[in-house]
Amino acid sequence: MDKILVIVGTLLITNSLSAGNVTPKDQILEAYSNMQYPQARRLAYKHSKLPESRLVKALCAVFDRKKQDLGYGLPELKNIYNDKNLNSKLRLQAGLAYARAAQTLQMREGVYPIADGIDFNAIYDSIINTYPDSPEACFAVVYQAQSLFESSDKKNNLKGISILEKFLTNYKGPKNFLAAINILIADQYIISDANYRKATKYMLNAYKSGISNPRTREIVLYRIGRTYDLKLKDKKSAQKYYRMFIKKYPNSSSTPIIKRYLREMGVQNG
Amino acid sequence: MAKKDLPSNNSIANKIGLFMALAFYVVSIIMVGINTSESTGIIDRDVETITVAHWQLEDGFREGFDEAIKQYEALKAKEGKRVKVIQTTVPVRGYSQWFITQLISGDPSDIIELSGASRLHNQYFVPLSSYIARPNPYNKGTPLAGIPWKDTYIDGMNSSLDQIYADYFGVGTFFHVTRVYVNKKLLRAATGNDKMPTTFDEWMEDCRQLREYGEKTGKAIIPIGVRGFDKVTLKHLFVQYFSQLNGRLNDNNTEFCTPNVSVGELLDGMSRKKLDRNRLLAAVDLIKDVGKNFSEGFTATDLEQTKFLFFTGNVGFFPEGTWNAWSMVKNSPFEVEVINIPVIGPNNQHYKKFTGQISEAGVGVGGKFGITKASKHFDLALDFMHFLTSYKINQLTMMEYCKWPPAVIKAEYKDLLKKFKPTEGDAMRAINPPFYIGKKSRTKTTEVLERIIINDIDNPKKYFWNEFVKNIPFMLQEVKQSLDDAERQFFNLEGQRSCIAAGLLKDKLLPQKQKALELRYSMGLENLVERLNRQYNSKAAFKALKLLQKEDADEQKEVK
Repeated sequence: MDKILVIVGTLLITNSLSAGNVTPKDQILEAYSNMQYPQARRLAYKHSKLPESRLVKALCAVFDRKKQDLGYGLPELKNIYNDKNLNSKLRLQAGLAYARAAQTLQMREGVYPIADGIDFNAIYDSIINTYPDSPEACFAVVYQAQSLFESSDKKNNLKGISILEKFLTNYKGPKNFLAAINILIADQYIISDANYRKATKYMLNAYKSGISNPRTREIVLYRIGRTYDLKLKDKKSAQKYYRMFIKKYPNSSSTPIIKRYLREMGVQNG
Repeated sequence: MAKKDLPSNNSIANKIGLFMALAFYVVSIIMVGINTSESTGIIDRDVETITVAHWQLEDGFREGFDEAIKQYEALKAKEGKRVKVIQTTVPVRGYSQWFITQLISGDPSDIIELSGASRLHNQYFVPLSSYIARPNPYNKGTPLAGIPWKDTYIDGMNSSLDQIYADYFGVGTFFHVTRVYVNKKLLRAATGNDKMPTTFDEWMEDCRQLREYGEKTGKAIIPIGVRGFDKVTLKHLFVQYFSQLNGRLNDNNTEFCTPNVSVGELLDGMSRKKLDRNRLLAAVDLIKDVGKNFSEGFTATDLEQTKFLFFTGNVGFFPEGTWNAWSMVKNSPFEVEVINIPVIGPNNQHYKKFTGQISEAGVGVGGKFGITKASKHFDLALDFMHFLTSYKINQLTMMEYCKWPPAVIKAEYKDLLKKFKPTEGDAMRAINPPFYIGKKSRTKTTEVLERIIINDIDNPKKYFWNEFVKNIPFMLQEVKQSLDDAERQFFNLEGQRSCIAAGLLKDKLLPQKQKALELRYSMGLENLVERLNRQYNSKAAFKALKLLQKEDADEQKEVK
């Protein structure tokens, strides 16, 4: 029995000591970051005076499907975004999550009336203008453009492209978010206008800016070579990017195919 | 008297039962106390223990893992670390339930073979994207030394990338390809030689001779054994011959110049009459020819039955995955040859449409193992995963013990395994026939092929097309479902973005962790853009299907 008591005591002390190393704020954020919603919620209620608790409680209410409470979560995220006394980083997260949740809920017409009428674009505008060089601004501009690209009106599609292009011109934030926007512009030039010249320009920009996802990086390099070959009939440039691909991805499933393309172009040792 | 004794006996039994229960309870408390005690426990506190769980009960797999574990523990012991790795196996039938229970219990195994939905992987497994770009330390002194872990895989770890959450939650251990297993003795008896068929027509001629041999000898010979019950063989052969006849569609029909043409792009081409319908349907003719050589009740024959028929010498050819290769070769009381699926040759009526043999380069890797977030030994678990997937050990476990093709590049294929080496063929890529979208429409399409075979339909291509048009409502439902799912996933992806962002708001963040979170953050945006592209393709598929439906209705009106 003594041994058991010693063990329990030791465990309690270790626990309290280890808890002392991590602040409640970091504990709450860590739990939410790991998608451990019940734990995050429990910690947030335990330390409810912390502004992070307010944010995490609201985020859990929106995104934890098992205990979703949009009636509390959505307005609370809006309130946090509008609360000028709070840290700007928290407000930014609350604002973006509020706007995007509203936008995606509105996509499911008639299912979530609570999201109806929320002007998510106004919040995206505000985020882009207030924090123009933040990664969140990159998300906001893509979210905003998505609505325009979903329209069947070509004018709206082109407007979406122009919003993204304008954003890229002004953006001075972390470069690793540029690739996604460049790829989106490239795709939209193909969809809206079949403009492969511009699409190639943006794919090259994406590739040079550093694509985070290794699979996407490989596909974009393939697409650059293939677009030069198939759509722009620029065989010289196609060969350059085909060779680059073979060198970079010798074991890729696309490498034998690219070698065949080179052979079909009459390139020796393709 | 006897009646009086009964309550007395019961009472004694109850007392004994109660005493035993109490005794076990007390003993268990004492044992837990002793075992968790630092000084006198049975469990050695100095030994770091991790558990690995999977469902691969095939011959050699567990033995291969045991050997890898033995070598790993010895290696660590040399380094002065006392390590124990425990292997746990669960039968595949109950694996998905076991998997979920393990994860939600909060105390799962450290390393688990992945199963189930992406959502579970994202919630319970450690994302590995920040580790895969570094070399595997156990590849030192091998041909893969210094190469990023990801690039040591034959598929560049592409099949490990979760399409929804844009991260790697597990790393693979093997891959499989389909081959045809041949009863050499039977083939020799029927054809008089050992020559293996390489073309479709040679294959059909061998089958004809096998049928004749059966009739002559009165034996129940099945020229081609199939997995009819789950329709796997038919599905595979249809994709194979469709791809051999339409491979150029991947080259020339992609709007976005991607490596693979999407079903949406193909349907769009079909609805605009840009694609040659005769060519698209030519594989149906070939399937009818192949089907003549199946057993009469092939739709009810499952894998085990076909394997049994093969072992008893009744089946000539059996197209099947390499996962069964070793048991096919080992358990057959005759010599088994392994060949590639025969290609369409010059004598075939459709040879003019033949675009080439399909490449297997970069074939998808399976048997993916992930590290649970609840693991208390992440570093050791990662280290063991490096060891397990290293050049030498992956070949040892898979090739020497399991006789399966390994996941690593530059593997040295020997003996039987030489037959499994992925072929580059004519550098053409496999292509998904645009006659189905999801599971339901795929099953319906395969059922049409079955009816063509069973009922010996006269104009199979026309019949297939008419049935395809009848299936369009199901396909429309499936596209609609995928579009609805995409909308739900946009919401979920925002939830995931907010989680990563919350991690970045922490005060104390190790530089490595910060880098990993930032990488996941930007990958999340790239993933979103990819999903927008996929959504566009789904919408194109929907529009094209509606158009095809309308065209058919107009044609019917004209006929009337």
